Amino acid sequence: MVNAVVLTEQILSFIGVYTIVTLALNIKAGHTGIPDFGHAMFFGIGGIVVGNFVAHLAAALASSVVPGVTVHGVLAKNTETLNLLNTKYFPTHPGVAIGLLIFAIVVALVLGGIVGWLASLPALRLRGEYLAILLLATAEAVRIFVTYTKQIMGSTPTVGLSTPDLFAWAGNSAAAATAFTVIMAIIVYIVFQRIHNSPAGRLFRAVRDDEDAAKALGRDVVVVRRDAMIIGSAVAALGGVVYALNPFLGGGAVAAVSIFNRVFWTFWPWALMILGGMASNRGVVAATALVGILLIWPIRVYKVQLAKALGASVLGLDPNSFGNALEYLLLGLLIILALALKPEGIIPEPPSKTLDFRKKAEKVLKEEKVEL
Amino acid sequence: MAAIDLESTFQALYYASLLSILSVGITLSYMTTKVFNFAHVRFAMVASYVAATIILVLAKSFNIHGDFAWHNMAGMQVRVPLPWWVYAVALVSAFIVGGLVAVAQYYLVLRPLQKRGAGSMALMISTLGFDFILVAVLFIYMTLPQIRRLTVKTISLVGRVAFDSLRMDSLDIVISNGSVTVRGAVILAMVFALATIIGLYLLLTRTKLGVMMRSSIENPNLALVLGINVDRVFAITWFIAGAIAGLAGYLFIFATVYLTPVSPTTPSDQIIVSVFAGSIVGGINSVPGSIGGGFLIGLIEKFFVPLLSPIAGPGIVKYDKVFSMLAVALTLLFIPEGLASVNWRRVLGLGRVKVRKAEEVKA
Repeated sequence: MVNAVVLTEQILSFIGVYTIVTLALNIKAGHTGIPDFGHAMFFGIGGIVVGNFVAHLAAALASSVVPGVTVHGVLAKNTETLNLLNTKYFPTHPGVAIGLLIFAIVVALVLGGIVGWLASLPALRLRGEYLAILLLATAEAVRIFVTYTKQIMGSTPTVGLSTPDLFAWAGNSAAAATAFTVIMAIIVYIVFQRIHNSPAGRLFRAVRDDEDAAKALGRDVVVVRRDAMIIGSAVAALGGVVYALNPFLGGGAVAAVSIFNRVFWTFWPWALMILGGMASNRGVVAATALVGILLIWPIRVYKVQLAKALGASVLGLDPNSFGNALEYLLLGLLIILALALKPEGIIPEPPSKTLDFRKKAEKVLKEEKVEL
Repeated sequence: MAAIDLESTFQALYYASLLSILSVGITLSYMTTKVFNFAHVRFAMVASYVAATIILVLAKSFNIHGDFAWHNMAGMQVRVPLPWWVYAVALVSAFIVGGLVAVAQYYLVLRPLQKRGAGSMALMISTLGFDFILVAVLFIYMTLPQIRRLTVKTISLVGRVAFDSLRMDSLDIVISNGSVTVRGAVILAMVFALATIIGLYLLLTRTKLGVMMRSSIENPNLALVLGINVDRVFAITWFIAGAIAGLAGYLFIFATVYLTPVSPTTPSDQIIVSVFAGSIVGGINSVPGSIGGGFLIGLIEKFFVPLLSPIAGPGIVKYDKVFSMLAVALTLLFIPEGLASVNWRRVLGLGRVKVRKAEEVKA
């Protein structure tokens, strides 16, 4: 059995990372109406930043301090090198670890933004499902490219790269990683909520609702779409960093098959976004929390017990396949039922907040000392 | 040695034929419902499991060759050809089951959502949802004890979990004269691709149903006015699309050496994007175009990319899909209606001759 603290941490980690990834998708698909089916590609960038760039930098810094650590060893002897770093270097160098953490976040945001910008170029020409298929195909091409390029993923793409444990100095590194995940999710939520209520957010939705009207009002639709892609993709890459650093999610390694997995990082976010409500940040958080607490994590953690309780093992279903089946069934039903019964989501898109004119008027009147 | 030997040529032909018969289904369903069907290759997977089950149940119940099926499958050492009618029954049921699953999707998911006024994006995502439900069904079906005995443990890439997968290469009929070995699945794949072309051509141009299909696709409202039950015609089109996918599913189980072992997630997850690629490159609104496009994408991935290996190094083979995705990107950006929409006469300079002739006639 799993103890309660660990279970809580696992659920929080799940909710945290999916909140980030789904909110990032929401700004593209929900707010601006870009059907991004290549979301996993941006997420994976964050994983590469941690597994490859940060590990290289850490090895370069540690090579003079810890014997046996070389920059070359990060890819050549990945497990040993990262093991040395995680046990001998990070626990005693909290300053470096925090510096690397900030480095990872900044680099992921910048790289994600750049790739998002590149991916937005075809968005100028294509619409609707054609764009969706193009982004899906692009993500697939990127996944294959990353998987088999040794300079990025090492020589064993299925095992992946061990990730540096940047919270090793904190004592309980798993708890620290969870806290980091949750804090990042909260920051992302606040930022996106502000975007939602800002003129930029209203512009995104205006482009989604009526492109011609936005054009007529003098807005450059192409620029708006590009901005949405850049913001969404950068934050998705941030999600990848969070995933790679969290032992409950990445399991201490990033492999191309897991960080570029389109079921986990494209289709699940889509399902959560539709369930929560397109362009509704609160809805996305609610849907993620609901699915995380009630369904997904119990299925992943307790699938053996669940299989027994439902008598599945009598039928000869092995718990792993049974768990897989339940997860896919849940995902499929969520999508179809949400589309059929509640296409606007559990918390529909809130109306755009505009200036509170009454408050503003009161303030002005007070300044002029006039009774209302 | 050249980069391409006979064996990999056969593999390329098999793969290209598979993609072309799958791509045409994507196109048929897109033409009717205007939705890219993510579940299409999964129809084939369902058909694979049904065909495998039927073959083994028949072999067992008619006690063909003792109880080979239950013991020698996993070892894959013993090759036992079965009587032809066992294969035929399995093929027909794969065909029918593929079609029925497609019709189920049409009536259970797409039609109700369309009636509620769902947009094309919502429909596309709903096919994903149906796809996942089919995966779940296959995961449960696969682990039933009777079925499990047909399967072989295969290590999956994701999470390195051991998966039970169907491998029935040993039941394939292999023609060999010592130096050259041809798998039955390769020939069958090409036959199916040809039969699909000819069958669809005859259906669409020579039968009343075909005319009804074309008119419903062209203008559903007008067809409705003329008394055509558009809904039923579309359902029939979906049945045909799914049934053709069923043929591909039947082929999957016999040539896992060429593709990947058949499990609930493979090979569908690997090839679905290539199938879309074939459909788009060929022309999403053209039946012959999509057959050609699928074949072309298959050849790009398994034939032309290996040809590059003397120049670019042997590692290039692993990047095969990158090239087909490039083909999709270029097609969508420059000829969004696909290769079928290109006026080839004009591109090749054949059109000019005609114009000149016309001028000469005037003169």
